[in-house]
Amino acid sequence: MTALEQNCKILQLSDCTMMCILSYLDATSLFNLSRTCLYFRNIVEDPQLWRYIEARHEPNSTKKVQYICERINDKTTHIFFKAASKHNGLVPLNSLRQWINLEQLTVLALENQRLDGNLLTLMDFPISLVELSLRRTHVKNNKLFFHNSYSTMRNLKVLILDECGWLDSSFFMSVAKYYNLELLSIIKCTKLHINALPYLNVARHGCHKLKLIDCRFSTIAHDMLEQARYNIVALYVQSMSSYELDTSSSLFKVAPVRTTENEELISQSTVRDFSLERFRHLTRDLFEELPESLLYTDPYPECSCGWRDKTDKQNRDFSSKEHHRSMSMDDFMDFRVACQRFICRRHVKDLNRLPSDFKKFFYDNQKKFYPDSSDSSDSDDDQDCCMFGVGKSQMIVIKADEQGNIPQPEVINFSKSPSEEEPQPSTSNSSSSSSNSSNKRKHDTNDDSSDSKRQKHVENRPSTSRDIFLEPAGCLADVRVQAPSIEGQQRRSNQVRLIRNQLAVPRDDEKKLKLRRLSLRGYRLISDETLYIIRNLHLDLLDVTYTRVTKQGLEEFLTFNPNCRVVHENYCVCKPYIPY
Amino acid sequence: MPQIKLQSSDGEVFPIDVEIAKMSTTLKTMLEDLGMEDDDDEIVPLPNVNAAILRKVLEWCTAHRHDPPIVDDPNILDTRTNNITCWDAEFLKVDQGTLFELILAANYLDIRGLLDVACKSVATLISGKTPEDIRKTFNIKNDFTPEEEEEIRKENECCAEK
Repeated sequence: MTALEQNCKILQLSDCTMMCILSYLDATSLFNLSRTCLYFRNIVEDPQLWRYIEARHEPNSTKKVQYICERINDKTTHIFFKAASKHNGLVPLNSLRQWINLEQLTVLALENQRLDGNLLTLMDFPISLVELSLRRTHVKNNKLFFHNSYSTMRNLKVLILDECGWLDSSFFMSVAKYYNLELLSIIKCTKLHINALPYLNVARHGCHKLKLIDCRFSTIAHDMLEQARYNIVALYVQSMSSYELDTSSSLFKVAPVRTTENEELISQSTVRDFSLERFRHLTRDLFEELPESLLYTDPYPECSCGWRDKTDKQNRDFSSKEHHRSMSMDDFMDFRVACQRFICRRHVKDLNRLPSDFKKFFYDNQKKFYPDSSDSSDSDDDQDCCMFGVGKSQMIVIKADEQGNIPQPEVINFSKSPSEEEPQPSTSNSSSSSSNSSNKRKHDTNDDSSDSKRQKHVENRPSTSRDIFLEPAGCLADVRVQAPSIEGQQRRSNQVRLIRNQLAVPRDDEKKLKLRRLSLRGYRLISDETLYIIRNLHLDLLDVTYTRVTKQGLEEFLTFNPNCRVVHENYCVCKPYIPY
Repeated sequence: MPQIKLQSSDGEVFPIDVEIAKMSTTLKTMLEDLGMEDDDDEIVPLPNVNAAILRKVLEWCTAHRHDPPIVDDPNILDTRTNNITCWDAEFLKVDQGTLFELILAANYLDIRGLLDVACKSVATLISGKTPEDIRKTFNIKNDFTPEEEEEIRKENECCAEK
């Protein structure tokens, strides 16, 4: 035995032990191992090792994917692929076509791939599939991609179509016929709203076993709440604007175009109190387990923040105050659509994220934003948060006072000379869409409590030279953009509610609901009224973070539902898991 | 409690409880088949395991003697390597030579739990490494022909570019 061989202990193990070690390795490691020496190249050929193929780890080179595809065999039960980009790590079409014959394949993840609906449809997938993920996969020519797929997908329990921008709501029709489907995840699908209502209306007659719908950050939240079947166990919706609060990154790489049509759609999809009206007279049915899945990660696993055990009340009060502020920030998220950014003065390092023209402007005028003396009316306590929204030609400055309330924002015009002490009233100049929509928001002040606060502010603050054009927190804000007819819509909705209440013969009171988990995260039109509506459902989990529900409302809710895990600024502050 | 004596390859004798010895399927079968349980003075020679490794193996067995037996289910593929307990992780903080000898001993004595956790530990050493790193870690000699080597090198370059 040479010295080198003696050093190389790993090659002294028996093949049997080696197989035991190799069985713990994922496909990427096996691929790397096959490139070290002849011994490993031969031993990793064993089909036994290629039953559970996890190939999502980097590097996702084309060569690796090809090598692994060649090793897929009849015994393969699980396949996980995730391409690195649209040029690298794509599963070749001829391999995909052969998989239809894999009789034992139960779990398949094809993430970040590119498929062509003309060459491959769901009909070409094996019947044995139980879980399928096409997360981030783009399908071109997708008109017939789902067509007739119910025959091949009859065993499917879990379907994940997150971030599929191409997906339109007609796919509900096909999916509704998937006899065994229990879990549907359509996070960040942005094209679903087109004709969603009629399709969902038909689809609700299928989906007999569907238990979990995850449609966070999508445009059909309202319709989903109204159309979901009674056997749903968990329903997660979350507003798009709260995405940035949870992840501190933007939902869209490119801000969507603001057209009247878009605005109307977004406002329609917003969840409001009356979206849950149908739950008013319902109670909880028998307990049902949530579906289990390998591919889908539960966004609300066991609570890790320990809110139930928290005894240090002061600590909690402090943290709730912090959250209150970040929540106020949500109200001004609307501006982001128009390429605007925000900054808290305590986080000056965030400046680097700002557009360069603003950065320069900021530095030039630093003194103005960080006044040393408090002679100016807006120079609040230095510790308080301050936010800036930047438009193309103007900037909005918002500062919180010591109570955490948000006063009227200032508008400063970019084009004006930066040295000018007092910004000019800019109503006439601010013809940008943001100020227009904000003016609309002004009309819509239904909430009494915040109204009074707001009034106080208006009184306190002499609005001499500053242009007050935006109503502060509290009012609507989940919808980043309000449709022009929002006022009318609200009135209409109130009327609908009145009529329904007067009738007093709720259609659905005979029925019972299996709902255990409900997330309404980030919808600012959700108020204590919702808590009142759903208090008889005996939920296990309710996420009302970044909504307008109050602590009093929640306390009352908790007396009816003492075991409910409430995710809210003042309660459980665990952040839901978002894929990617 | 009845005891038996194990003798390592270098002659050291370890008296241990039969209960602990039975965690090794090899010893368990031997004790049951040969009816050696009553005989206290019998010494079982283990010619494949030296004293240092045997001491380590017995340390593991003592700590894990209350573990439930491992049931083999072909339908459940446990490929996770992140479920090594703290105690085991600390126990397996040894040099590579010892780790592989532990695997050989666990394999010879047929101690399923120890074999699994040691194999997992080796697997974590391999996973996430490039072929070159793996060779370095385990002193593996590259025995590909120059042509094959060239091919692999090119592929790696491709990966790095993209």
